[in-house]
Amino acid sequence: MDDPIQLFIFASLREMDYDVEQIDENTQLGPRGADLDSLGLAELAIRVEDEFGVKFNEEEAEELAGATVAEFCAVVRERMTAGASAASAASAAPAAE
Amino acid sequence: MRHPSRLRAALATDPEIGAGNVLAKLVEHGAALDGPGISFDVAVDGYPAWTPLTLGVLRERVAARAAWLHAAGIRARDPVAIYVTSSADCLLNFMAMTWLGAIPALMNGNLPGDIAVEYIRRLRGAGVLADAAHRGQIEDAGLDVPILPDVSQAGTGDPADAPAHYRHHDDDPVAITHSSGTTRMPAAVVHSHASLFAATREEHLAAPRTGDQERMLCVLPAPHAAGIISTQQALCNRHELLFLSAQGGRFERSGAAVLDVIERWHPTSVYGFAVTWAELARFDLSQRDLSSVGLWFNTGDCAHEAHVRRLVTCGSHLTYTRDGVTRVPGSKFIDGIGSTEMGHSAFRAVHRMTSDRYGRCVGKPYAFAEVALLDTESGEEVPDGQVGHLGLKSPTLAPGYWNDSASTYRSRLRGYYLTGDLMYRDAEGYYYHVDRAVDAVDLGGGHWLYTAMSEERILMRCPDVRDCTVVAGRAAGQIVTDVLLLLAPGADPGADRAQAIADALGKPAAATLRRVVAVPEDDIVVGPTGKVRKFLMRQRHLAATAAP
Repeated sequence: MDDPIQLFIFASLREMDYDVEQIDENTQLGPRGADLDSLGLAELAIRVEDEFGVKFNEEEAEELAGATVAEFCAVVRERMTAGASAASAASAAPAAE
Repeated sequence: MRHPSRLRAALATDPEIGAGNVLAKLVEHGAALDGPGISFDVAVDGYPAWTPLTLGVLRERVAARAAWLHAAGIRARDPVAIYVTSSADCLLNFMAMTWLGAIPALMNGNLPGDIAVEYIRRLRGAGVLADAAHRGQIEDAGLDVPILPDVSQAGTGDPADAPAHYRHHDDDPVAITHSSGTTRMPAAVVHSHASLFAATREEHLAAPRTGDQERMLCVLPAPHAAGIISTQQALCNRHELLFLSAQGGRFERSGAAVLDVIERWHPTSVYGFAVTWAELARFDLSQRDLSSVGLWFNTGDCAHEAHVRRLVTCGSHLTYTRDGVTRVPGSKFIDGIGSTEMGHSAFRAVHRMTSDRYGRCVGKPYAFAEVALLDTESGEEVPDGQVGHLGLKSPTLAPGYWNDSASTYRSRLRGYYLTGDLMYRDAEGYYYHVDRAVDAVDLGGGHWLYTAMSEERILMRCPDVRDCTVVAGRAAGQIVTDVLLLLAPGADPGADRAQAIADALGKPAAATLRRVVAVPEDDIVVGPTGKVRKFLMRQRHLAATAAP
């Protein structure tokens, strides 16, 4: 496992006092798996936002309950890519007069 | 003792749990007997009103009723009508009858006696359990089913005499509930052990816990599917639950009753039908202490933006910020649209103070619901942006109408249950409810009058109107539309709102506008759950005021 996003998520969960021995990439974050509550999901989302420069609103953070660690990583990666393309498109666009 | 969250996982994955055995399964999976059961606004077997009954006491009080009903001859598969006012009489006897494998047919206490008698007759049941107020309405009607002794006796059974709990199969009938009866005799709908629990299993046990110990105030009607589902949702999630009787009492006074209870009991969430939010619109909520409330949950008809916006500015909720866990002002409102037959809301829209997606947006379907907007002529789905009939496939769907296969099959199309709602979907996948199919009026030339959507727009354009009803139909050979307004306290009854209302209706419908009138409360005919009975309103109103 060398995916930096996944490594960061596991490190965060450890810091947040979750038993990561019981969690793998196929574990859901919510009650069917790691059992993060809504505040835990919001904290994890903020940690990921700060580390990877992506954004989640309050509702999206709650909806992460149904996602596995791997699915969450995929969403983060997707947003990073979308953010990067938006940034490069903005820098390529001619400046407004 | 298991940690509650482990208990939730155990319940969600138990293949045998369903609406018929929630209490038994909670105990089997190790839920603490001194943990929360239900609080009622009425006394229960010597426990004063408002006393929190623990899970253990709740189970004992249900066992007492199971023993009493068994002694009265009630057995598995017996349909038994329950016609009472108090939420305790309804819910405790519901659980006791499912203990026996019987089929409680829950009736709203607001149903008038003559309707109730005919409804009971059509059930072809094994008995009727009623409270004193309702016995008087049915006992001389010549019903050919036995009326059991008064419901107040049911708690006198000895819990030790309760027989072994009935073992349900997923398909077993566990309850008959009825529709709101807004258009006709209420339809009796049968729910199965699995269908009435499906939303709890798929959604409510899968949602993340909140930071608070949840205290859920239920203003939903106990005898309806939403009342049963909310009860099992609270029990399985180990929330504290206060269940008000009869949606807080007479509708015109229920807003005050609900506010008083919020200030007294400090719920973290309030569950209700649209009528509750409309009634709360009578009050200046900034003058009341609603700080405990973080969630308002609506089902049945979708709520009006004007009502939702006022509520989400009230209350508070815990959130996690870069400064840690903090309580912030404002609450969220979960809107949806559901019905007895649908067995739960099929859609979910979340509104907060920052929301701006309204216009009768009901959000997106729950993960367990498969929806299609259909052209009922061709059976094909309509494209985005076009209004179609909502078809639903869902594990929550009721298997059908009781003693009425004709209606059961008439409401199905290509495997979907037709809910009777008209909706459209936008390009982003959000769904919008425009009207009940029976209330929409074809104006010709491709134009339609959607009464529910029109009401939504009127409320947004006329802030001093608390609620309104658009009544349209044929009078003297042409389509006429009357707009009936319920004004907010202090509003000027003589104010000229005609232009604002014509704008709200749009040109084709505005051309049919006959009059706009502020009416007294009792001019609006509502059904037992507070829904406006438009079918009756049309008949009475258009007939009484037909053009000369």
